[in-house]
Amino acid sequence: MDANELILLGVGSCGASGPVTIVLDHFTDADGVLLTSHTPDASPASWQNFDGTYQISSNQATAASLTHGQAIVGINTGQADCTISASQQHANSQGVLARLTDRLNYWWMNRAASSFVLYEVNNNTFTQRASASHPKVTPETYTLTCSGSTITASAGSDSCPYASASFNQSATTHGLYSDGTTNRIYDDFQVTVP
Amino acid sequence: MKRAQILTPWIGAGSGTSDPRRPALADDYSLKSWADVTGQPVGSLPPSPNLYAIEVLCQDSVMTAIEADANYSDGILWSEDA
Repeated sequence: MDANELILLGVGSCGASGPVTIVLDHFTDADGVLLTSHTPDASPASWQNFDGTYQISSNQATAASLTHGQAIVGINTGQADCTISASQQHANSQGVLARLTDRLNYWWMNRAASSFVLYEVNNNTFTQRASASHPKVTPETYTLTCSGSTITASAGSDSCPYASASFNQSATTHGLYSDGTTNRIYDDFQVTVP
Repeated sequence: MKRAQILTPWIGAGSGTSDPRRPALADDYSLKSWADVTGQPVGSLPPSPNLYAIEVLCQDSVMTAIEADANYSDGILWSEDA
């Protein structure tokens, strides 16, 4: 059990400072269970499909089907200012989502060939707002930190902040994205608040 | 390593990851990182004239090449050692 799980159980939270985990999912479940039927380790709400479906495979999450060529799943955390992270394989066109309102509107950290890119997807128009070159590491944790109108994408020691992120600023659903294929793999999805 | 703010046109139609809206400079040069510092709303893109500022981090040799590129040399707002 790690420190965040202890905090979820109320152990060590009294007088403690630092981030508090509000969503944690190690995707521990039987193969084939849809994420919408799976119970996260901790969460204020269930997983919800926005496009396609996700399922459990070898205690990880992977897209099970695509709709509109993509698979989007999210959890309404009730918090817009938070840090969203997940461990993911190095395949391109996958990443964590933040401030999602529907399948056409969200912020997305996309793992590209030799970099990661922060996308504003606004009414299904894809606009790159920031990017950082980054070597592929397998697996690696990718993180989106949302604080007011600043969203920062980061992995390892690399990061790229965008300071004019007023779009969907109050949206509280965050999740996972797979573009064009079902073989994207995620683990250890986590949302923390300061 | 150099840090700079540089004017660049938007390119791309925004139609998915195959042709997203993005800075032309990032297509033309290998940048360590960049971020849009103009922050124009998506509904106003591309602006007219089609120019916006991005802050870049790049190798010294890349900055030298940008300074010698007529497409960008007049649009270097500032640069410094990073």
